[in-house]
Amino acid sequence: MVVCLSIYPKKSLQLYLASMNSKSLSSNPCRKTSFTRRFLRALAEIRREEPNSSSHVDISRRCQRIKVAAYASMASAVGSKRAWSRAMICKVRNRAICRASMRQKIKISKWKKAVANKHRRDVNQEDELRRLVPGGKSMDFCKLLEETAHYIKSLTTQVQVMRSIADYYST
Amino acid sequence: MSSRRSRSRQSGNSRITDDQINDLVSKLQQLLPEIRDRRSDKVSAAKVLQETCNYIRSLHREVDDLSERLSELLATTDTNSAQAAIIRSLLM
Repeated sequence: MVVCLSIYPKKSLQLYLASMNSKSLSSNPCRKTSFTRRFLRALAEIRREEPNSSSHVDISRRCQRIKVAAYASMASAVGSKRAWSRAMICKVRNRAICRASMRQKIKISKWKKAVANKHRRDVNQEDELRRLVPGGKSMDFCKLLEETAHYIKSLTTQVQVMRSIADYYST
Repeated sequence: MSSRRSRSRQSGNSRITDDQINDLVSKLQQLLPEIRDRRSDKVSAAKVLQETCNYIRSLHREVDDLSERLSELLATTDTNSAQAAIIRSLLM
């Protein structure tokens, strides 16, 4: 299955996308197009590499790859200027490198921590936020709020694009 | 945040002022759909934090659902159709 982007000479596609950027968009247009391009490339690659079956195992494995590709594409589109995107890129890279045994050890230690935390009476919202935002554990509170705002904006863009792609493919 | 009570007297040592935090919290408030629609000035910082956590969790859930949907679609559709057309329709 040939990747469709190769049919369009790279320069013309870039010029086309550059002209799209000049239209007024509420969210950052460069980030949106960059994410879309990366994500579509990843989807094409997943489609090439994964078996085409509709079995539950294959669907869930594809689903996991698509999810990781979405977060990774968004983090790459944002680049290294945000702490959360840097943390996300590191996490995705480590996930690829990490061997199975190491991953199991990390899973067990996380599970133990979750069990210990389950009995804590009051859920500290700040700690919860630090857990949700990538790289949130090692930021001061001010930085955490800034990064959260940017992270939310990027997440909404990501969801918007993913939904549009899914709607496009379902027609 | 309309009121600017200076509590910084009590926490004199912190370089991060309360005003700075209030600014950031109000910026966050603008992003949350629930609180933004309610148009209330008197939302406490704790409520904003809580809504933020809920909102991020719901966004993560949406990404999960969309990934599952895309995973099922990827098997059945033909991705040879112009990707530029997708990008065009997305950015309109």
